[in-house]
Formats: sequence, structure tokens, C-alpha cells
Amino acid sequence: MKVEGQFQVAAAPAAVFGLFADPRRLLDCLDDPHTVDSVQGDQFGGTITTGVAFIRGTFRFTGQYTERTPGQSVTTKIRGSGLGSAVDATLHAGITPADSGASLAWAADIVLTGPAATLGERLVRTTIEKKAAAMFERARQQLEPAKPG
Amino acid sequence: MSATVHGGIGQSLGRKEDARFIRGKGNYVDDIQLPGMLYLDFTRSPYAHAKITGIHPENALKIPGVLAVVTGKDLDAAKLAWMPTLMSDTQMVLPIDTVKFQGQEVVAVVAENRYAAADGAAAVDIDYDPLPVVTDPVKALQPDSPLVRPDKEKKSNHIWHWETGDKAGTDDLLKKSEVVVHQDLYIPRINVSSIETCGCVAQFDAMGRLTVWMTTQAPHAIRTVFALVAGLPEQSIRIISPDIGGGFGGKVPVYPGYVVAVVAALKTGHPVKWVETRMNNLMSSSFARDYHISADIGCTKDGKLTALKVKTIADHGYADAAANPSKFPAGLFHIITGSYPFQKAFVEVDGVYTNKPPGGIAYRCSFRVTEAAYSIERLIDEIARKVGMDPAEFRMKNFIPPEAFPFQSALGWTYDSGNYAGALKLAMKMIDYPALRREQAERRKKGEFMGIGISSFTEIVGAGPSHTFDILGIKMFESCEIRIHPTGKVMARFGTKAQGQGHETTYSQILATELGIPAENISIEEGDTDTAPYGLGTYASRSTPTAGAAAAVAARKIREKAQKIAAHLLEVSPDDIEWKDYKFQVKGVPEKSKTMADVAFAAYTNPAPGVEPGLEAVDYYDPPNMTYPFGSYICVVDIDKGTGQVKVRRFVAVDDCGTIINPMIVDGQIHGGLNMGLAPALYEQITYDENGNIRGNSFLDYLVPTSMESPHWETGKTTTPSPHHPIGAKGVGESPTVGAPAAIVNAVIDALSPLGVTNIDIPIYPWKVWQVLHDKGVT
Repeated sequence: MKVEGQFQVAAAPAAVFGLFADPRRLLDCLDDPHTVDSVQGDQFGGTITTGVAFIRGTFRFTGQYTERTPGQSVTTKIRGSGLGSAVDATLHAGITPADSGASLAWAADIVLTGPAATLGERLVRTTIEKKAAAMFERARQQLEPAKPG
Repeated sequence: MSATVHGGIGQSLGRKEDARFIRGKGNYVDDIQLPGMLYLDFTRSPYAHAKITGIHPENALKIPGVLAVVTGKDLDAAKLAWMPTLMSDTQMVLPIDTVKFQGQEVVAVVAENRYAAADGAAAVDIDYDPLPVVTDPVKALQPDSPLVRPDKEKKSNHIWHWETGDKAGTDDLLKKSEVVVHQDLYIPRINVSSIETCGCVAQFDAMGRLTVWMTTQAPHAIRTVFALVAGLPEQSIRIISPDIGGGFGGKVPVYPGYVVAVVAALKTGHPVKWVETRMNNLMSSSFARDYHISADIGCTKDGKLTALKVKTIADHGYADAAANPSKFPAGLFHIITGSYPFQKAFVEVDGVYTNKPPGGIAYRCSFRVTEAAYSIERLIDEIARKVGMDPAEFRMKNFIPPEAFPFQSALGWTYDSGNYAGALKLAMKMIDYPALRREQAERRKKGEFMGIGISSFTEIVGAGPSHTFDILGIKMFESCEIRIHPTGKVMARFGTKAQGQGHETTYSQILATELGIPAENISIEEGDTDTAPYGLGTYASRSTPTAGAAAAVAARKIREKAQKIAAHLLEVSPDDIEWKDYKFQVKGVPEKSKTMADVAFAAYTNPAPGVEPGLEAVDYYDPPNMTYPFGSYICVVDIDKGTGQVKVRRFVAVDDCGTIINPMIVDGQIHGGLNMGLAPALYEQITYDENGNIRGNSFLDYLVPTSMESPHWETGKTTTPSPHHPIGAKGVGESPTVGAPAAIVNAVIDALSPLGVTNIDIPIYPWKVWQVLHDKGVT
């Protein structure tokens, strides 16, 4: 399953890259409860408690940055398992300067297998899209300076 | 007035077994509780095809109550990682290095309770490297396809090729035929979905003797397989099939859970129970159907059938774990000439490996007969339409006539008896066929879609004669052992095993008639290999044709001996005795008689000189031929133009199963079978996505029809006894499942035929019909 989108943020491309290239900062953008248990060079690992509809549980995952071009792009491969299911994903983010900051074009190629995929088949895409939207909103909050209130 | 015996053949005796079932007093595998019993669960593969690169059970073993894990490597050390299938293929018990389908058992976890076992199974970490997946058997045959079974010498996903008939003659005759119809048909993968899933309890006693309570339709064959696979002495194995909540072919194979439970019992010294969840059952137990059929049928321009040619790809998943007779890898699919005397026919089938669960079981049909009946009855409708004949008229013109029996089919079967026109005439009368056609014409004028579908099928059951039928070399005979106690009460044991069919009642009725003892005085036992005579089990509608025959023959053996004792009691020569009105009478002096109960008492207290005491007999019945039940079904459907919803308005089912032993049970069998025929026509299928994810692994997606979806079934009967069966019975449990799908689909296609529609693959979901209507500009 391929999911993609565009993300505009009022922050410098280098700042956007900094967030997406740091697994701890990136994963902190997730709404779902998670841990980052290890970060070693390009590799990282942890857990995330998530699910599709009523099928919820904890996935253990490992990730690896396969490409990090400062200020321009990040590519990550992630493999996770839990609930008798598995997920294999390749995430790519391309960053370009924009008038008011940076534009990020992201694409995820996700292979979900097991009961989470089969029972939640009809809901997987919308769930992923919702979670991605929430993640980018959190990223925006991290990257954009708080507006004076 | 002729004498009767209470509960004899032909009476709608209430089912004896229901006294426990309707009170919830049945005893199923999951009801069995043993002291110190442990529970088994499996970590299953999320991948359809992957290398196992690491197994980490540490987290599972930390869970309170988890006692042990078993891996493929553990089993390999005991040479038990692989096991033979009933089709002489091999399948994994647990994988050593590669998984082949999603949901495959990978690691077994043994725990003190089933919750700890489930938690343990979830906690086992397994590292995989995914491999390319192939779930389409046509793609699997292409040279660049991922190889599902590299362990096989052939290095191909092609398992076997099987063919029968006259290829050249069929081709030639099709070329000469004035009308030829080609049709591609797909019969999707489905699951039997018994109320009870599969399971077992394995226990070794202090002497090392193994007892397994198991959901199996064939306990004796399983015992032999266990002995051969595990190397255990066969006398040290006892298989008990307790009450079973539906089998339908799904409980014939050996599943990894059975084997691992035995290993776990051996390893822990405790009894071990394994019971599948519904999802496990749908994901990994043996499937049915999954046949891709391509057929050509020919006839003359005035509608006389000539030739039939069929090419089929059979998707077996990653192992051919069907339960067919050894000589027939595609089962009895070559009954596909059906109720018609084709001059020439040719059938070929190719078995293919894919990344799906193994299997190919019968699902309430006698070894691929549903696939055959569906195909021929769909083809008959299409060629009738092309010729411009009414489908009923076309069938009447082409049926094998009653006087042609025994009839040799173009593909080699010898049909025992039949009156196909009689069954169709009765069905047409019951439903008032001419009136329906008139109504249809009127509705068509109003733009409404009403369809009438016919299916005039021929079944083939009662496997089978030893010259042709065996499973793993064991001939497919069946057995009955009868013992009449001194008080005239009877215990009879059989090699079969009921899963809801009502054997305790049906067998009692046969024996009541043969022995003159009321059915309530007859007890039936099956399913315990320590006590029952060896038999091949219950599936493929074989119990009445084989075990029912064994009962009659064994009873007649008892009568032979009893006649001598009766003669002794009546002080006449045995030659002066006749069995009449359920008594031994002195010929010409009916007032001088002895009942079987009188004789039984004497057999233990006053046996005739030179006659052994006791009154018992056993028969191992080797049927001389298969039996060929048949029927004609007519279905009427209405299609909602807005939604594509198909509503079955009426369904008339006329069955002929030869001599009817219990009309009520036969009706019950037919009602159940019709529902299981409705299911694949309109509701059930299991599909897989490109990653091998199963779609249909819960009842959220796998649509088993309930009473809400089921129409009112109208049943009728004709009776054409089998000439070679001792009581003329043929078997009926599967006929409706075999015959119903084509009737329903023919009705749908008939409704849509004015639009030029010739086929919609089953199941005919509303969206498929809506799509057709939309494409044709109707909706």
C-alpha cells in the first residue's frame, strides 16, 4: 500500500531535516504510546502501541535510515511485529525550500501482513492517513515557533 | 397387514442422539478435562512466505504458567518436523527455516492454562526475511514465479497432471459439433466452518500408551498414520473421536496441532489439549474447492449433446493435503459428464502449489463432485440457451434414460441406477414450471429480472470398491460388528464416525429391520479404535452405502446362525425355518415361531448342539460399485435492479437417494446441504491479496448464511434403489451441496440473460450483479 502527501511548514529545511533525521524527535510526533529503546548510528528500535479499529496491541519495531541527505531528504526502512502481524515500511521524505519555510513531500510504501491487515483491511488506509496527518501536525507544532498568544 | 418393527427402515424415528445434544450433554473434545492437563497454542506466521532468521522464546518463557516451547528444530531432531499428507505429499508440522502461508503454525507454546498459552504464543519473537509470494495458481505456473516448494526435486510449482478420457476423440467430435460453448468457471476457495473447530487432547499413560481424543472423521486411519509417522506400535495408540460438531471433510486430514499435542504430552508428561480458535480454523485448516475450470461442450443444432472437454487448474496451497482416494488426485471430478450420455469426454487437471494453506478436501461432497456438478450443470444451461431451447426441455432430451442402467459414462464410471427425467418432472410439477416461465415473460416486459435455474445432478458416493479405492494403500471397505446380548438387546460398533449425521438412529433402523429388534433396544458405538472394528471413517457420503451395507450383511450373518438355534428351539430342521415378519417361523406353521430375543437368550443358555454359544457377527463390507444418488433442483430468483441483491424466492429440491431409511433425517440432511450449497453461490469465499493476506479469516468477512439468508426449502423425493446395495440405499448427505449452487447461479444468469450475460463467478455478491446492470445501462 502506498500512501503519500505534502506537508508545508514555516521552518527552515535544515530544521525539518533535523527532526526527520532524528528518530527520537520523529517518533515523539506520534500520538500512539511508544518507546525508543535504542539508537545506534543509522539504526533504532522500540515499541509502539497502536492498532486498526478494535485490533490494538504493541508492535516491536526496528528501523534503519538508508539515506539521509542533509536539508534534502530522508529514507527509512522500518520493520515491526506484534498482534501476530507484521509491518514492513519504507518511508521517504523529500524536503524543498518554500516561500514561507519548507515543503515536505512524503511517501510511505507499507506492507502490512497478518490479522491486523486482514481484519482491519477496510480501515487500514484511512487509519494510516489519519495517523500520518496527526504526526505531521505534531511535527508542525515542534517546528513552528509558538505564536504569541 | 404386514408386520412392522418399531424404528425400522422407512420410519421417521426421532434421533436417538438428540437426547443428549438438545440438552447440552454432548461430549466434545473441548469438554474433556484431565488432571494436570496443559494447553497448547501456536505462534503463527504473519507472512505468506518468509525465511525464519531467528526464534526468540525468552519473553514467552517468562510469562507465568508457560512451561515449554516447541520449534520445528525440536521436532526435526525427532524426525517429526514434516509429515505425510493423505495424498502422499509432505507438509510441515512446524517449519524449520521457511514459512509458506499466512497463519502457519511456527512455534508451539505449552502452558498451564489456555490464557497463558495464548499470551506465550504472542510473546515469542520471530525474525523473518520476507520472500516473494504467489497466491494465483496461473501465475504460479509461470517460469519466473516464486518457487513455493524448493524441497521438491521437480523445482516447479506444478504438483501433478491427471487426465482421463479420449482426448483425440473428444477434440474431433467437438470440431464436428454444430454448436460448441466455451465457458470459464471459477469455484473459489471456501472453508467448511463447522460449529466445532479442530482440536485434541493427547495423553500418555504410565505404560507409555497414547490416547488421543480428537476431532477426526476417520479415527482408525489416523491411528495407522500416527503409528507410521511416529513409529509407535499401533496397539499402543488409541484414538477416540467423541461427539463431533460437524466435519464436512475438514476433519479428515491430520493437522500440525494433533502431532504437536502428542509431542508436547510426551515432552511434559502431562495431558495436552489443543483447540483451534475460529480465526485459526479459517486461516489454516484444510480448504475446499479452488478450481479454475475451462470447458468446452458440444451438441447438434437440434440439441443432442456430443462431447465435453474440461481443463482445470487445482490450487492446493503449499501442500497437496487433500483426502482423495490414492488413484484420484482430482477426486471423482470425472463424474463431470453428469446425467448425460456424452459420446466422448476428456478431463485434465493440474495441481499447483501456491502460498496458501494446504488442502483440497471435499467439503460435503464426495471428492470434487460439487466442482463437477456445478460445471456440467452451468454448461448445460449455456448450451441450451445457445441452441435456443428451454433448459428443462434440453435436459429431458439428453438425460440417460432409466432403461440404460447400469450405464457406462464416457469417463468410465458405471452408474448403478437412475431416473433423471422422473426427478425433473416431479420438481417441475412441484414448482409449476410452465406458470413460472409465463410469469417471467410478463416480468421481462416490465423490465424486471426474474430467473429460473435448474440443476439435474448426478452424485457418486460410497467409496469404495477395493479394486479402485484406497487411502494410503488401505482399501476403502467399511465395517460393522454386532453383538446381541442374552436379553435380546444389541450393541453394534462401526468403523465410521458421525459428526451430526444421526448414525446412532440410522444404523439402529437398519438393524431393527434386519434383526427384528426394536430400534430402541439397539445401541450404536463409533469412534473408539480400541473397541470399534477397523474402518475408513465418515466422509464423502460413504457411511450408509458402506457401513450401512456392512450392518445389513452382518445382521444377515447373525440370522444364519440364529436360524439354527431357532430350529433347535422349535425342534425342526433349520431348513424348515424361514425368517418372516421379523420372526423365525416354521414354514407353513406361523404360530410356531421364535423371536430374535428368544434366540439370543438361547444362544447363551441353550445353544444348539454343535453351534458356538453367543450371537455376534462382524462384516467388513467391500462395495461392488459406487452408488449414484441424483436429483433435480429448481430455483427462482428475483434481482433488485437498484442494489444487485439476489433473492431466492423459491427452491424446490427433488432428491433420489435410493431406499430412504429415515425420511426425517434425510430431510434434515437435505436442508443442511442446501444451505451449504447456497453459501458458495451467494456468500462464501476466501481470497488473498498480493501479499498473501487472507481475506475471510473471521465471520466478519466470511459470510456463512444464517436462517436470515436461507430461503424456505421445498423438498420432494423419488426412490430408485441401488441394485447392488443390500438395502438399496445410496447416501444423501452431500447431494444438496453438490446440486444447489448450479441451480442458484443458473437462475441468476437466466434472469440476466436478456442482457447477454453468460456467467458471473461465484459467490454472486450484490456488487457483482450491480456492476453488470450498471455496465449494461440498467442501473
